[in-house]
Order: sequence, then C-alpha cells, then structure tokens
Amino acid sequence: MRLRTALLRAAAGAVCLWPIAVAADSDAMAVIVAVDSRHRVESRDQLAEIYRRRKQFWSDGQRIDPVNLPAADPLRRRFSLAVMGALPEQLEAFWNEMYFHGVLPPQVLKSVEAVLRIVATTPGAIGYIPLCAADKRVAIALAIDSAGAAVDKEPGAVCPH
Amino acid sequence: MNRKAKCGIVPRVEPVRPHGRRCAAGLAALLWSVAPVVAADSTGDGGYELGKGWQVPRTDLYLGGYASSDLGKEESQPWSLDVSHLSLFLWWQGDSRFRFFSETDLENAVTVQPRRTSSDGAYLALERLYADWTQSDAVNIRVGKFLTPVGRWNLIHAAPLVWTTSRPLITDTPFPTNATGAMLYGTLTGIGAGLDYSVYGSIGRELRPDPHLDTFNEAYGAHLSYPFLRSLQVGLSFVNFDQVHEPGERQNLVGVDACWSQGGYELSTELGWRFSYDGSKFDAKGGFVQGVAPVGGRFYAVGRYEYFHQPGDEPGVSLWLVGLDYRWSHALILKTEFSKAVDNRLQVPEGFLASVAVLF
Repeated sequence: MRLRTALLRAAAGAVCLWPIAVAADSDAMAVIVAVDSRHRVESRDQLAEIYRRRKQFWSDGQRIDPVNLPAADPLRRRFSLAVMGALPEQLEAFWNEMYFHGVLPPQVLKSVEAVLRIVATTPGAIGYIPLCAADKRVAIALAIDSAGAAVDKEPGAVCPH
Repeated sequence: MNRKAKCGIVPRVEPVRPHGRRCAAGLAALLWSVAPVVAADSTGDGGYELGKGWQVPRTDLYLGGYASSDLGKEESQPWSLDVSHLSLFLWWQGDSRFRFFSETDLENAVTVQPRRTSSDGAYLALERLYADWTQSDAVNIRVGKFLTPVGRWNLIHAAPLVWTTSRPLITDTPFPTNATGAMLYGTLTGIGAGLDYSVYGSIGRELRPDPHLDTFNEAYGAHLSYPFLRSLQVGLSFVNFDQVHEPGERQNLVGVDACWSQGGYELSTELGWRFSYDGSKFDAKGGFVQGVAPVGGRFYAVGRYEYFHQPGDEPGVSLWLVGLDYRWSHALILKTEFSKAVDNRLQVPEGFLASVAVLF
C-alpha cells in the first residue's frame, strides 16, 4: 500500500513537473560550431568575450567568426541578456567604441536556419540556436539557460512550432 | 572574419590552366549556387548601415568615419560655427593575421563667424596609421602612429562617442595624444574577465606631426584595463617621456580611469599626475568626474566637474559643466552644454556649446 501511494505521488509529481521541464528545455540555448570542429566554449565568460570580439582566435589559431540573430529576435535578446548581461541596444555604445578601432560586431543572420547553415559550413564560426533546434549539421559547444547557466547539452524537447 | 563570402560577394578566383576547365566550371557553379544562399541569410546583404562602415565590394577594405559640427558662444567672444571634424577611417582586415588601419581628420574645415567665413584653421591631421600583426588574442604587435594609451577618453575621443562637445583638460593637455612607434597589446583572457594591456615605445619622428602640438621626442608607456562586474571598467596608465619642444625634460605621467555604466546611466572619471625630473614646480595634475543620466525618451543629462593644475605656482582651474544631449540613434547625437570656470587663468573656453556628431 505504501509502495502504491509512493508510486502515485511520484507519478502525480512527474505530471505536475513535466510542463516545467519542457518549458525549461525550450528556453535552453545551444551554442554551436561546425560538426567536425573541435572548438568548444568553456564558460559563459569566454562566450561573452567571443561575442564582444575581445577573443578573436580559437586555441588552434583559427579565427573565431561569431554570428548573431537580428537585435529584435527574442532569442538574440535572451542570449544577449544571459551572456553579455545587457540587451543589444544597451551595447550600442560599446560597439561604437569598437567600431572606432575598426572592429565590427558579429554578422547578423536572418534566422535560426541561416545560423545553422553558416555555422555548419564556415570554419571557425560560432552561433546560437534553441537547444531543441540543434541537428546533426552542428556540434553543441555549450548549452545554457536564460540565466546563462550551463545545462545538459542533449536536446530534450521538440521545438514548439 | 570572412565577410566577403557572407555578404554574398563571389570571392576572386585564381586563373586556371586549360586542363582545369572542368574544375573551374564546377567551382563557378558552386560559387554561383552558394552565394545567393549566403546573401539571403545575411540581414545586411552587403548594404550600408550608418555607424557600421562600408565594405568596398570584392575586397577586405572598409571605409567609415565620423563628422561633427560645433556651434559655440564663448564668454566675451562672438558666436562661431565650425565644421570641426570630418574624419575618415580606412582599414583592411582579411582572414590573415595582418591588419591595417588609418584615420585622417580634416579639422576645422570651415568656420563661420559674424560677417566672416573662413577655412584658415583647416588642417588635415593624420590621427592614426598603423599595421597590426596578431599572434593570438594575447599577443598583437602594432607599428605606426596610434592614439597614446593614456586614460579612456583619448582612446575613444571621437565626437559621436563622447557625451560632451568640450574635452576635459586632463585627457589631452599633459601628454601628446598620438605616438609613433611600436606597441605590444592584447587581452589576457585567462585573467578573470580579461585584462587588456598595452606596452609601447616611441623614439619620436612622429608621422605627419600636427604643428600645433608638442609631440613625443621619446616615450615608453603602458596601459592596463580590466572589466569588473560587467558594468565597471577600470584602467591604469603610465608613460615616461619627453617632448620635442622640451627635449631632455623627462616626465612621468601616472593615470587612473574608471567608467561605470548601467541602464543608460554612466559615471566616469580620469585622474592624472605628471611629475617632472626638473622639479615639482613643473608638475601638473588634474582630473574629472562626469555623470550621465537618462531623463526621458532619448534625452540625457550630463554633468561634469574637472580640475586642472598646470605647472607653476598659479592655482588650478576648476570647470563646471551641465549639458543636455539627444541621442537620435546609436550613430547620431546632438549635444548642448554650458560651462563655467573658476580661477580661469588658463583661459579655458567657457560658455555655451552645441554640436551634432554622426558616425558613418
């Protein structure tokens, strides 16, 4: 009887928690590189350095080629907040300063599919997509949630359409 | 970064021998098929965006710059309108480790005053001209003419990047703003959030020296900058130098700078002390504190206090400034300010200033 109660409680708990887990998974972001690339990102700070163009080379000497989504894209805004600690428009002064020194911001691509295509075919490229959108064309260098914390790299949910 | 390919511009293809025609045809077909896809992926499509520069088609060459115009009414002076800066950046950045950058600035191209318009003060300045070679993020070598890495303002002094039309004295008076020589610089990403450093030397022979400035005769210096808590940047500067007009009068300059910014608010400061080998009466010191606050819409209030003590027994000058800026976009800003000096023996300009500045 006790076992049955425990199993029922566990099942009820799982049912209650399931939507939360799916929501957390669909919020997770995958930082991606080409599938045959050995480039990996060790931390959120390192990722921020890459996206601020302060770190421009991988450890093997390959130039890092970061790509972004448009500034209004909800994923870009979540990524920017999670990794850079600021929204794209709050980084404009920073990019003005970098431009003054001839350093341009990461190239902006139109869509997640475009990021997948470019990252898959450009040596040294790095991008970000919803974790659930990662496919066999790319390798996941780092997976983070909306707070920038590292999460499991395995896509665990189907992307909502 | 290979922007050439991403902008959908077909890369140059080396000439091929006749027996390679099939290969060439295949390559051309591949490029033809890939290029539109890549162009369609990019939001820019290779087009021009204000404040982001322009890539010369089919090259790794970029053009950009900034322009500013000032309207001033200094105390006991007639009003004047200046086209103060027309600055052009030209840089080359390919996939190699080599990079080239130049900035030429047409200063005071036209000045309009009551019943007088002239270009007498026009001067074509060579602000920067250097080549960079990159070994890694931590090791870069720069050779040529560059901005002297002292403080923060001098390194970002372009009118669209700063909040006031006038410039604090400490940011350019006690040292030459440009140096011609060599620099080792980089970001030490293994140190916390990344320590930016630069170490440089100059043995004079300034490239196109500005006749109005007393340039370095010889200089050796270093600058460190570190980001704390994402919103605070702190820097330290040191340079040992003498200048062309006073060769042999060796001086040490020590500086501290800091900039905190968050949510549109900004608080920045620079402090500097210049010590002369010839005695304390040749020392100079100064600094400023500046605050910026959003006041609604795209308007920002600016306030600044600065102090500067030049060599000699005279008391230093204090300068108060209040201003209101309108940031039209990230690339365009309109500024107004009013400044008032105390003990103004240096005859620092004070009064009303307004300007418009655009990054292009």
